[in-house]
Amino acid sequence: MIRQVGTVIVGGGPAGLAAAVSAYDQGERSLVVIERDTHLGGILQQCIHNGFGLQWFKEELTGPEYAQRFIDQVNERGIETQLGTMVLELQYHPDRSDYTKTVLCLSPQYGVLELHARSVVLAMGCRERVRGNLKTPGTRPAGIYSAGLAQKLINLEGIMPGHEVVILGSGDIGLIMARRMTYEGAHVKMVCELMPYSAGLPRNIQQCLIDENIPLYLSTTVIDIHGRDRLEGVTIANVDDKRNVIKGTERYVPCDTLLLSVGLLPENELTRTVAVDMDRVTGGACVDEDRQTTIPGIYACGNVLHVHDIVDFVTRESMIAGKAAAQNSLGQAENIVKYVPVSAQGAVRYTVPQRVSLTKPFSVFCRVSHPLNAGSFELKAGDTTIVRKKFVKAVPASMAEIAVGQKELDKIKEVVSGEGSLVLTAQEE
Amino acid sequence: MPMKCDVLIIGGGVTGSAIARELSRYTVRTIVAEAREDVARGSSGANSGIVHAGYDPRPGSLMARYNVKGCAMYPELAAKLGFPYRGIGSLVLAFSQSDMQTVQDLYQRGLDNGVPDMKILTGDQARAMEPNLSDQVIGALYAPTAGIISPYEATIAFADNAAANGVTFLLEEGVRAIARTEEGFTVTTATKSIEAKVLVNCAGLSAGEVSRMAGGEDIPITQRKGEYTLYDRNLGGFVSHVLFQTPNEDGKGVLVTPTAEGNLLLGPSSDPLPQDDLNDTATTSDGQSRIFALGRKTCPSLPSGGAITGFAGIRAVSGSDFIIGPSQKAEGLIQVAGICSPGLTSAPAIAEDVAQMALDLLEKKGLRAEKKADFIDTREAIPCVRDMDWESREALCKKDPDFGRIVCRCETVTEGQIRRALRGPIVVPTIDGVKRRCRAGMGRCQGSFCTPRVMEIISEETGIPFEEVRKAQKGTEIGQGRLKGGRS
Repeated sequence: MIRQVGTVIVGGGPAGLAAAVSAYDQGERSLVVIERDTHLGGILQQCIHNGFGLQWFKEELTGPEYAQRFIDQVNERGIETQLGTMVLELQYHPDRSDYTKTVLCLSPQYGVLELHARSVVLAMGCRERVRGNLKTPGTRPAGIYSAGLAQKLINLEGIMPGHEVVILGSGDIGLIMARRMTYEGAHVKMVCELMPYSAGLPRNIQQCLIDENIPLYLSTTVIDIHGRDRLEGVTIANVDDKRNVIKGTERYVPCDTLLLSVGLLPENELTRTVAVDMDRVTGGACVDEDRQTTIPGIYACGNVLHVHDIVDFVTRESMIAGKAAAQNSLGQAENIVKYVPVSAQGAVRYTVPQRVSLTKPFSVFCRVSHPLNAGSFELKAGDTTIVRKKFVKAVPASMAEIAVGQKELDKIKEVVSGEGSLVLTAQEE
Repeated sequence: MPMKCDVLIIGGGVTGSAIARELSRYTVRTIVAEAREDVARGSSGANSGIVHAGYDPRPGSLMARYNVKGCAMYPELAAKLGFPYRGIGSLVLAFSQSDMQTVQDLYQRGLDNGVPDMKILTGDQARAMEPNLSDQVIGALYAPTAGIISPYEATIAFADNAAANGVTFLLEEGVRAIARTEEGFTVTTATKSIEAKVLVNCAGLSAGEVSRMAGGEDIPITQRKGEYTLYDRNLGGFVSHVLFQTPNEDGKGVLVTPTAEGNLLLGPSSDPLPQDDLNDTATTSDGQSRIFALGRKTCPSLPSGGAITGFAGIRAVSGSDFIIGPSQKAEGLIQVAGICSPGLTSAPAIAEDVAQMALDLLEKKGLRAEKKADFIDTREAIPCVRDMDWESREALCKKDPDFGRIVCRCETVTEGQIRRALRGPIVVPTIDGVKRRCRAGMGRCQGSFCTPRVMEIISEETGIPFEEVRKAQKGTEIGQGRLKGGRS
């Protein structure tokens, strides 16, 4: 089946839902959300813990509650959703006069659903890194799971994946699962973190580990895995500041379950079917302040663009992308003459957006590469400081936002009237 | 009541399964007893997946004969039985003058063995074929008849086709004892007693033990472990031929190759294993580093990232050649032992000869087998939605909407494919069994995403309770009890 659609949103998780609501509210009525799963809400459906929505809704919600608010908004607006349908290919046809994007979906209902769109919003989320990415040696028994898989087995399927648990990696899902498995009667022996600092949010370290008396071993990793049928144990060891194993620190820890919470990767296989510029650091597309990629009319938001710390930021970003996608589809978009690149320097690992059109105020989101004590972010255009934002502490686990208002925007325009670029740095005081 | 058969094949690896298929052409009652929960769980499931051209083995050896013949058989077998095969050709790379001499020697061996169309290339000619090749390569042996297959899918295809033609596969029925009888043998397995006129010993690493139990000759088996690194399919185009370094006394050296399924494969190491440790398929950080370093010698730009899993396989080596033929000590026993490389390539050719040996032995016992008129020569592969064009996808979905529901997003595997994988002829209701048949969970997320849905489908198709679904063999159940208020 072939259809023309103004805006196609790929993914019905928090990013796609917010983008859909925002596009609708901008006036887009030719709108469809494509969701691979049989229900909307994405990964939030298995995140039954609380702590969601403190920023966006100013109240504390569980993951499914947060998702439901947006599902309700989508349903109230009568936005079309196609469930159980997966987009396998994108095409860009700049030679077409209109509807230059083709979205090819596999659907049990239609077989093939071919959508010709003016705007496409990519909101496919991210996936977890796995053991193979770490090259952790040893046997390959049952009992080794990504933290997200364990979360799904427990929260959605109602089965315990194991009882004596070691968690490798202190990402937020691992921390949440340390507490969750403890609540369900498992013995979570430890969380091992390769780096000298945690990859998780400070509040999760407090609530999930410290409050539950679960030890966190920093600069420690799993170097061997034992057991033929079921996992029997792991060998852990300390690492030096170059992440090399320190001989003599090896220790055998009996366990029947190893959870991996070793980072998330934006799921951009679909994005790569078109020639969008990618950011090697974020693993997502390069975008402007509207979250438009380097192909006009294709937008990206949420964890497919860069891995977020909290869903509230996903929502904000997706609202921006959805609105811009609708404007593009409805012919309301401003004509962008040129872009100014935004780059990360020093302790700043990356920025989103990676380039800006300077047509309206915007925020630069970033993460630092290592923990910093009190200091400040500095956004500069050439030698001119545009914004300086102080922090008490900056950690890689948390995103930071540097807002550029109308006043700062005017200042940038003055400085970079010809060629120029913006650079974001962070320094301790 | 004991089960009765004419031929009992011990071991469901690639040779055992291929022999079973050959025997299923005839009016003989064949059983395959496999110790593990699936076929291809030993050496056949974890190797390089190469169809060797045949220039390595010593001229006149069994290896030489079966290798060259098997290599020529695979393209047609793959088409008939529906398993992936790509005839991409191989290069043996020379980095020094002494390597170049080896290349010359291999070329000569190839000629002696009857390998067609080989060429000796200059370094530049080789680099023109493989842009990522090291500039240290000074020459290469090119063998266009070499290819790649999925070794476990080939084994499954042989076994499925044999089963479709009446062969019984008994899984998780490892042999415990073998007694001689007037008629032949009585074999006691984990839960069964089987009477057979002829025994075929395809037990791989356990071939020595099986021979001893059956009163056959002493077969000393030594084990060598080979470690591999498997890369994401987005690196599958990094090389386009099988790239060998020159062989040494431990094997054919580390290779870099695309896999038949489109990934990039690096390995194997070759490390001796102690005799008493039959199943040590653990990877090691040392082994993984060594194959990476050797892979970088072939292709200096081999990426350090992009690996999705590591694995190890064990090769059963016995002397310098295959051991194939009727036992001189135990009448009625046929030995098919020491099937190390090029065993995968040789299997279909070995199968033809061994099937004939079994028929000859049966005839001596007064049983004259006929060719079946209704032998099914082909096997319909599970449709691969990922590799289809959109028209074919649409047509398939119209027939069965399950083929429009993607369960494994990394490998684009649909619910329809998973259900087909669980509908036989040989049903292996495990997560790994499904994975080897339709690739659900074989991709970059290694099943992190689709495992619960695959478990649900296994449960729906077989009636096994969800929480008892296993990854592989007994003891690998995913669920370790239910939550209070969990699914019922």
